[in-house]
Amino acid sequence: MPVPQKQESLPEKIFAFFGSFGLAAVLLILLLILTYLSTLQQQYDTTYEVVQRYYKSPFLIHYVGGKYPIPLVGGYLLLGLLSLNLLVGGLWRMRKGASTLGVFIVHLGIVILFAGSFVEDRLSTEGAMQVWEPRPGDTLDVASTFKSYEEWEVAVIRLDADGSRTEFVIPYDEFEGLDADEQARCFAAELPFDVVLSDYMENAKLLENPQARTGESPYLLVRQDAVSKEMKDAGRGNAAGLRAKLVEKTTGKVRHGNLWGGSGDTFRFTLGTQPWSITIRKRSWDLPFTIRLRKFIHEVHPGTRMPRRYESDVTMTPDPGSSSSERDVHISMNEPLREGEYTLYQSGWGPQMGAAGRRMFSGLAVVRNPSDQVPLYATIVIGMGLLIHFGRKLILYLKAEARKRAAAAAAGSAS
Amino acid sequence: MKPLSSSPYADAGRRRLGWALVLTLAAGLLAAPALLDAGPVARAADESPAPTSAAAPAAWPEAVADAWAKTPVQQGGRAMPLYAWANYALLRVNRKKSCKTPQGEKLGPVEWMLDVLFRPDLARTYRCFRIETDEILTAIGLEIEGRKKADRYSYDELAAGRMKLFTLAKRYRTKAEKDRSRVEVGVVALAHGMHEFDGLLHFLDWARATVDVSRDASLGERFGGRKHVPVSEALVPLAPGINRATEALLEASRRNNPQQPLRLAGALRQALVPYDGLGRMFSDATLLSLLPLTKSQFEQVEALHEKRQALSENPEEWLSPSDLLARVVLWPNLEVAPIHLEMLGLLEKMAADVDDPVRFAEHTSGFHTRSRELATALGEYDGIESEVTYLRANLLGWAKHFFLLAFVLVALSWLWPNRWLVRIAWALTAACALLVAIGITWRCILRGRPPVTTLYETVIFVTGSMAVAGLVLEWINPKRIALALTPLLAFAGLFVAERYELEKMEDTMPQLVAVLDTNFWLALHVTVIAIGYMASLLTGFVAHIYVLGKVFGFRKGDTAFYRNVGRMVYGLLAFALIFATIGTILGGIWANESWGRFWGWDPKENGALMIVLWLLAMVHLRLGGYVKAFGLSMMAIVLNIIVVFSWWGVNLLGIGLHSYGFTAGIAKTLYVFYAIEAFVFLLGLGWWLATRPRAAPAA
Repeated sequence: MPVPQKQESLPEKIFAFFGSFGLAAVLLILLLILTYLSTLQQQYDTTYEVVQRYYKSPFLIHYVGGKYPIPLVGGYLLLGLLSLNLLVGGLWRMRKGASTLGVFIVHLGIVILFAGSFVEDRLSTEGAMQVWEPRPGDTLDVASTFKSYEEWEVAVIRLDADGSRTEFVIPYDEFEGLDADEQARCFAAELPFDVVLSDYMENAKLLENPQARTGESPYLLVRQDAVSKEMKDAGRGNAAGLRAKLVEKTTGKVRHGNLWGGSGDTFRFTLGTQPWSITIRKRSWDLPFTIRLRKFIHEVHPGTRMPRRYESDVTMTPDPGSSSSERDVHISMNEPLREGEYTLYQSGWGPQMGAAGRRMFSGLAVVRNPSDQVPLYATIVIGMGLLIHFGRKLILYLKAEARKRAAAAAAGSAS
Repeated sequence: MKPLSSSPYADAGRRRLGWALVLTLAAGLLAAPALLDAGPVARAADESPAPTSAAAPAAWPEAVADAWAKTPVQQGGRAMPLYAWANYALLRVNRKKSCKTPQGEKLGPVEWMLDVLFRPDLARTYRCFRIETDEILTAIGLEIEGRKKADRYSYDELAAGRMKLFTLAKRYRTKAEKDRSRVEVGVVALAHGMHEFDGLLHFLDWARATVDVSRDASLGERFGGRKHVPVSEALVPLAPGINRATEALLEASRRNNPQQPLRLAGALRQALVPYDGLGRMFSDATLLSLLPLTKSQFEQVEALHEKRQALSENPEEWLSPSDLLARVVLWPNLEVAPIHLEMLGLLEKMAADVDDPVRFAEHTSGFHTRSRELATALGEYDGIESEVTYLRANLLGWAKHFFLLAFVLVALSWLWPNRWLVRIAWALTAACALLVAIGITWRCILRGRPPVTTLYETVIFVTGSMAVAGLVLEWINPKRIALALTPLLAFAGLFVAERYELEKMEDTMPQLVAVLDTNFWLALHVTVIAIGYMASLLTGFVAHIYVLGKVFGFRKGDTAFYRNVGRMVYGLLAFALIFATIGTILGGIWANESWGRFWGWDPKENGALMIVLWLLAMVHLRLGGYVKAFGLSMMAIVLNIIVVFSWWGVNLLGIGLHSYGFTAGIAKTLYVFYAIEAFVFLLGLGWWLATRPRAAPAA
């Protein structure tokens, strides 16, 4: 007699679909394909560009051999759907019981991992700083800011008579992706002019403009489209460019200038007697403390240029008002400095070439990541879940095999 | 997941080039007419050494070969026995660790090295240059009749094409390694081998020469009226005069460019070419750093280094004969140890007494004793003799052969069922697994590191753990399936390790870059991920039995057999999933600890992720009922391709932080593997399409 089947409503069907094994498998395979193609693409583009295009996007077009287009679902959408599938199928709809306890725990661990990654993606800040070996007469051994690897900012700088500088910063989000026919108008009450930005170029170069008339910039800012991966990897050719227009608030007078990340202040002017400059530079952040390099240790393996050890002895001095106190810290590979939300890692040194007795700097990577330790906790949870699930399966299998052997032996002796 | 840097030999080569320039300058002064008049040396460096013997040379006494084998040299940033260095030097030219004399006598690496150093005229006639295709000969303008397409040649046979070889190699080196054709790769490798061989041939030219001191009255007096004196004796008395002159030159160069005093010194060499002589011989004596520093020298250099006043990047650098000359000539404030001059003297005596086995053995013993004492005082001799024993024992080579034998025994047991054959195969496989385990442990002790720190070590670790896992699998499920597969796969693994070593031709126990210098994470992440690779590959290979068995009708209708194999595939899949997942995440945690980022989408990280994603897809498709045992086995074959891509393939891309294992030569092997796996998959797919149940036609 046929068993009557319960009819699922449409919402139930949708809910079941989003929690299905089939969807999980399809998403996993699509993510695998995306990962594979993005790996191959790294032969031609920098890792940053590949991550932005393949993972931080809902959709993209991949060109096989640089020619044949394939539409792909991007990492954001795939991971979003996978998270949904995990919540619906892996936690909500899953049968609960001793046999699925391990799997449930694994899914929980993956959810924690995804959540940590989401927090990192949204809230973390990454950059680098350099502190030089101490030398009398300069303060290059002290630093309290760090710079972004990839993001830029525009700084409008007022050069005061007493030598001080007042900076007004336009963040990256305001001008990133601006085309030649798009404009972003930026203003501040303290500024006697508005700044209109347009034509953002991720890779730009300055060319001399022999036809420049008096008062015009002697340089032309041009987009640099064909920048090789090698140039980008070496930090050459990936200087951003931007066109700036100043509109004086009182007179409406307009000035044009080029901003280029490959040099310092490229757009200088005077308003009345007040000198100003505008520059595009790597985005920087202030640390709530100051780092002073006391000693830098750099060693290579004898007879080679292979680094064996690079370590920094620094003094960390918190800003006034902080609850923490000044302390000496030794930073080495795998032993970072942790202070509040910030972690400082030993990441490099320089200059790479020159005489062995040269003055060197210590390169420190700075990360502010509220979910710093989440992957570790997630791994522990996932590991426990996997061990519980597959350990149980193995024990059950061995018991069943033992029973079979005992039964076979008993049958043999009976006959 | 961590990066490693490029070849240490290349770095050493660059450093040596700088030294060579300095030494040539110094040599110019040494040979200056004011001091020695023309021609300070008895034989110019460019001349071919005179033949010492036309007949077959006497074999090196065992004691001599043993003492040289255990003589420590500093290469690639570590102290290693000369045996190891000779091993790889021979491998680099000959593609094997032995060589034959024209008389057919087989030479081991140390014997070959001794001939090159002390009997260069004979060594030039040994056919120890392996050339993979005669197109390379054509490219360098040589035509040698009566040889095979891939054959071995002597230095003398290739000498006529030497200049063209180096010109072409210089041009091809500007191309990325992965973009070079087979001939171009061969030309570059041959040029590298010839260059290194040149360095060895001329390494002791200075020891075969003498300094003419008769032109300078004060010197003649100092040397008791002798006309020619050995270099080791002449160095110290000559040094003050040389120092004054070189100091003046260096001072001039410092004034011009305070950051780069050596560059100008190198340029001045051009002006001193006419006086070149002994210095050129010493500039050839750079290849082997076989003079360990004395304790007091080390402390002196370390103190200078601490004050950033030393010219070398590391105070622990041992000296080659040319480095010693540089000390004498350029840095009068640096200590010159009498023991080093004594050692140079012993090398000279060996060169002089090469045809007197007894005296040669005495000098060798004296040299080795001093070398050992110095290295021991620095704490760098501890593993030298043990490493020689390890290399000579060749445990992995023996294990490879016996794994094959074990497989043959299992195969015979299929033809003639016999439980003793099976038991012997089991015991043999277990013994071989033990040999591999001993080999891995030995390496761990020698290096003071966990088992897996290089790509080579991943192969032997994966092989060893696969052998153990296979035996456990056979114990759990004693159906002789795992027993047959295990020795075959282990043989293949050790074969790959051997081929990789031959392909790389470099030390398999290299120093680690700073970022990898953490035994905790190496032991944890790398070991776990390697077990993940192993389990995934084992899953894939067991799956071959299922798929190929079905395709070729093996044990047709024996559902119990296929049920068993299917369970093994699923069980191994679970095992692989645990280790691959945890290993991959541990890599992220390590990266987070050392660089502050959990995931960087580096190619190697992506490869590991791909394995995990595919394993997860397999599990979900199985749990959802979309695939059963056959489908799962088909997916496991694809898993093999993914694992091999992740393990080896991404290294071929030459990008990312993990490009340490880049080996263009293995590309062909990888493509063959991918093709075979794809073929098996297509066979399985064809069988499935042909045999799947079809819906009945509508009535």
